[in-house]
Amino acid sequence: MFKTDPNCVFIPPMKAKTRRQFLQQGLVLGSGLLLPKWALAAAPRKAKLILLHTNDFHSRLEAFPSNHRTWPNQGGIAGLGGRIMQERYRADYAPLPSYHLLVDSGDVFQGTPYFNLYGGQPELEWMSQMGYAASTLGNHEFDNGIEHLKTVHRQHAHFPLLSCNYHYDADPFFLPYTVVERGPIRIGLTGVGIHPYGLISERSMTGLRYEDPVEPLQKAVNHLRQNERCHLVIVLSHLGYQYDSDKIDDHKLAARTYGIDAILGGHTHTFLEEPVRVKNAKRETVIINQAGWAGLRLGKLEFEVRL
Amino acid sequence: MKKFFGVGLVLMAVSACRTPVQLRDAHNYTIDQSSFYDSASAAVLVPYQASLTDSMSTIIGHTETPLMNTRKTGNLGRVMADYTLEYANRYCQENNQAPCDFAVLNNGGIRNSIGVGPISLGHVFEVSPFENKLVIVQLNGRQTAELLEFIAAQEGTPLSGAEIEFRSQAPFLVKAQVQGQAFDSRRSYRVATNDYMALGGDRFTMFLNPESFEETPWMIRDVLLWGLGSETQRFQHVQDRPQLRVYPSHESQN
Repeated sequence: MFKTDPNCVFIPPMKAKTRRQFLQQGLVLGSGLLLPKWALAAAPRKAKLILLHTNDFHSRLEAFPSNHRTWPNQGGIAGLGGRIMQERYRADYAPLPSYHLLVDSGDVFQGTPYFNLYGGQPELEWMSQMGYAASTLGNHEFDNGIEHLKTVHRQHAHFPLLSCNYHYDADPFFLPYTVVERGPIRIGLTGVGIHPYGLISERSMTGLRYEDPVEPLQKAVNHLRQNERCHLVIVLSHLGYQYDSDKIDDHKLAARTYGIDAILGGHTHTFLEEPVRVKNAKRETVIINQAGWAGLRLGKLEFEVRL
Repeated sequence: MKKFFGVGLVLMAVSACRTPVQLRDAHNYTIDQSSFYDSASAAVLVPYQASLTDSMSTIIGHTETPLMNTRKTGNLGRVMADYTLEYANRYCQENNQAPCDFAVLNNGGIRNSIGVGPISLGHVFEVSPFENKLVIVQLNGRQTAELLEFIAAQEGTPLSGAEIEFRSQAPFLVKAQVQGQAFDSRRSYRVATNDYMALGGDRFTMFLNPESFEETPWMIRDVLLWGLGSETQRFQHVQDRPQLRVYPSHESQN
């Protein structure tokens, strides 16, 4: 069934999983009476992962005002939190064993007086409360300087920042990648950051080194696939959706790499009706998605994973 | 029948082997707090909201004349343009660059007036709610002429370091002086403005292909905040700027 851990505080969801697993096993056992043994053995074990994601939150803790011309009552943590909870509730009652994962693609900071006054603390507290698994470094994360970012993140965030192409050797406060387990599913997460020169002022990123993302990303993905045996590899990208120039973007990144299931983008504040399917370097499908900005959208990708 | 079912299962298993991960459903939800509302999320904000209100009432300056955001003629426009030029030049000096010739802002970027008396941080946010950065753009003579004509056609925008005389029909520009000298269309000019205009906002399209473009790390709002504060420190209150810098020619007044 599952390992009992005395330190585990998340009793209710475990109970829910147990009930579901119990039902599922009951179904499998029940159907075993009707099917021959070899057919039963061939049936693959499957689980569902509901991946929820945001990007370019820009300190939009309160919704846009009700008299706002374009987005009345939209965005903000109350509405975003409400939708996230709704999706989790649904996941709990899905037919396959379902698990959820919530991630962000950077630029959580800057955009309302809350950031000017509190330097990102309420944003990180809310994200930690919601159980974000990871975020990546957007260019606006550096607006109050790299030292500030390091301090506020260490104090108030209960999730890691991921970037495999930014390097900060002095006192690393972000990781190149991480592995998250959701039930039986192992998910590899990594992040890529935009070319910072001319975008982030020099004095705000003293000691930060940028590397073109393709090579370090492929290395991280290979590691997550081969050594960490991840079922899924997800990239949190703050490169931008698509540029006409040679500048690296999510589409070019997808085309030049392999082993990635989805690239969750940011930076360009792109509103997509639905995720885009593109081909990677091995002509396999990669999903690209982006969810506008300011908490105006919540992206959801529902994956069926064969274990 | 049973045989076919078995074959089907094998096929399913084989196809599943090829694609261990499949996207079954996807949706980009619009977030509207009137449809789903999480009070636990809203609760995170409560302590900050009260304190935000407190902070917004912090007094940062003082004025003895009303600072009006009246379109075309308001004195608050001249105050903000002056600070824009002042801090742009401070940036140029710190970064060993030539100083700016003049500063221009858009009428729409100044959202409120400030009444006589103490000025709070809240006032500053009401006047300048946008997250616009102070930028420095170098334009060639033709582009600068286009910019001056555009300002004249609007009968005035916040301006500092230059003066414009306009008339009521095209070409609207009668005379322009930059830093006390007649405008010269054969040279280029360094202009301080906000990034919204520099990217072509409010139809300031002459900014779109500049000779150079540099973004400072400072918000226009911060510049306003610093300017009001330091001027109050120096003179006990913000200096009025009653004189128009974009003014009608006598010819057009008749």
